Amino acid sequence: MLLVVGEVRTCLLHNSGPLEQPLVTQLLELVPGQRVRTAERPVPRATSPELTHGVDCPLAVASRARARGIGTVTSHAVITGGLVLQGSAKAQLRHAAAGHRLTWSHYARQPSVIEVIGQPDAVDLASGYLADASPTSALDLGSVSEHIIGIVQMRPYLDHATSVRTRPTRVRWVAELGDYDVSISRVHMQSDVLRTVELTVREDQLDLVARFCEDFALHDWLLTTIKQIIEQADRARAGGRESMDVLRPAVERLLHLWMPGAHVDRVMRPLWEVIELEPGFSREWNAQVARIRDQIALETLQVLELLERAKRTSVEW
Amino acid sequence: MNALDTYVYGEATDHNRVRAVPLSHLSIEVGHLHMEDIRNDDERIRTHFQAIAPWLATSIASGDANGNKFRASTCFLIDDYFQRDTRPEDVMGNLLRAAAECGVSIDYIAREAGCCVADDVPLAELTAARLLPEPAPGANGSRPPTSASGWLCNGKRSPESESDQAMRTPQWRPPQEFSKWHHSIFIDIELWKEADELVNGHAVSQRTWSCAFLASVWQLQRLGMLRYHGEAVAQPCPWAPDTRWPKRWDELPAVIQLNPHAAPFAAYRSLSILPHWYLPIENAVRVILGHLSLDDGATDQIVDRAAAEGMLVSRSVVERVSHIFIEGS
Repeated sequence: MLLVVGEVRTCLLHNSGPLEQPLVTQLLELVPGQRVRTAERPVPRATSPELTHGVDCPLAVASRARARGIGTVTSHAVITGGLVLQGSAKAQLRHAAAGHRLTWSHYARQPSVIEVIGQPDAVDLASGYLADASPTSALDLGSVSEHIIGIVQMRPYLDHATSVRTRPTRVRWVAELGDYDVSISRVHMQSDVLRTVELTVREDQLDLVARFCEDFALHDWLLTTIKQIIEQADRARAGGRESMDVLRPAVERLLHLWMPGAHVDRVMRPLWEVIELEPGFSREWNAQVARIRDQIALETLQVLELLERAKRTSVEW
Repeated sequence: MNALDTYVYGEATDHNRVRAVPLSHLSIEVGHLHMEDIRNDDERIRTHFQAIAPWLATSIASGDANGNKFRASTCFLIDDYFQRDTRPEDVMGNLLRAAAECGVSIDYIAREAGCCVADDVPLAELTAARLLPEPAPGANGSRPPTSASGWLCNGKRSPESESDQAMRTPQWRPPQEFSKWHHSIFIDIELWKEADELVNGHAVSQRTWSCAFLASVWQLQRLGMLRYHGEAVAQPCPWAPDTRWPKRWDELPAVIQLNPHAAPFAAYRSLSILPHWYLPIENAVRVILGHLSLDDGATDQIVDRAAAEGMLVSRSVVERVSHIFIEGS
């Protein structure tokens, strides 16, 4: 095995309020007869069954080596707090034994495995994959994630109204194989909505990586979104509009979802400890939450003062 | 050791548990006859079972169970999906007598309609939801796979005749098998067709599954691969020898167990002994089985249990299926 590659896209469900867990379960029944996995604590989280897609395409490589990947990609949707929707796609890259395409049953029996024809090494494939954020002909896991998000957003149970304006974010990740316990080597903010994560894991920890990356993506989206909301509130105030209309839905719907590592396997939690040290996600989050609460407190004080003044004026009158 | 080393928190709904089913080493299909064969021609049934008998005996005698007792069960599929105009009470007695006289013991009888829906579970629909169309070279995930509804092929179809403007003659271009070895063997299989039927005065689209598709579901049943929300489906129901046969096929369970001492219905491997004219259908079955993304949990379970018995079973269902085609008219 060479490495695992994946992409998680995170956005808000097209619905005016959070959905109850039974409805979320119905929403994620994307394959008849397959279970939707749900957990209630500490934050409700539901995961759809896996969808499988076939691919046969070039793989991006950093060097001049050429690589063709044939096999399958799996993807699933995750809904957290009845509100935040994620599409998560991944595939393991392995060296192919044959130099040509085999009968399809060979690939169909190993979901989430892409066999690589060519001689690129893991480093070559990892850096090639991370560098090619908008692939035209190479493997495009982002579109696979986007596709499953599209399927969920088109389902009939949603009212297609949203109370918070947000932008979708992307996390592209690679996990290479190592002999030691899991470690995270790099988190990089590529743009305001695109991040890359590089990890090293033991082979028996491979199944746990995607969930960690989904948890990272969820918290990165929450942090990105809360900053956008503060900016929107600032703009509203500067324009003489009510900033509380922007802040209230954020406080009501998003703040309680912040729980880094809550749904992540114990062996992956040390990764969060690293991220908390630098850049310090929770430190930043707490600062933003404090800012929102201060603003709400100040606005409440202003309203109270106005009321007080109005009362005094009416008594004097 | 501290408390955290042993502490585990879990929620029952957060698991993909898959129910295990009893397994034989080999499931042998001793026939899949159409109603008209069973109904009209006792001699034909007898000829069929006589031709089957030596192959059946050989298959059981040569069974390899890595030193353990070889577990094999036999089954027979009755077509009550495409033809429903017979009655079990008229057919079953003759059929079982003919089999017994020819030395073919039938452990399980299954109904083809039970491959469509069994115990209210739509088996054919669940299987269709697991179809994994083959990607064309260049497919990188950016577009969802396109598939002609109700059809499955192993390559690229021949484009519709395009007229060459200069020549003004239609130009044929060949279809292509994606995994071809020098030359293509292109196969295009009709999985189902849909037609409007009048229900209470309203046109309702009804899907009719093809024989090849239902035969694929039948293989999955025999290979112990079907689950509904993790639970086993279409499990055999015991049938006491002196029970009266009903008037209608749908009064029978999807699979009945005639021999109370039979080895389990489902098995690590399946063998179908069929007349040669089943070859195109069974070839289609192999292509369909090779284009399914099946329950990983069910596959793991079967591979692990075989390994515990010291046997190697492939993760690919196609590789667990074999056939013997015999003479027949």
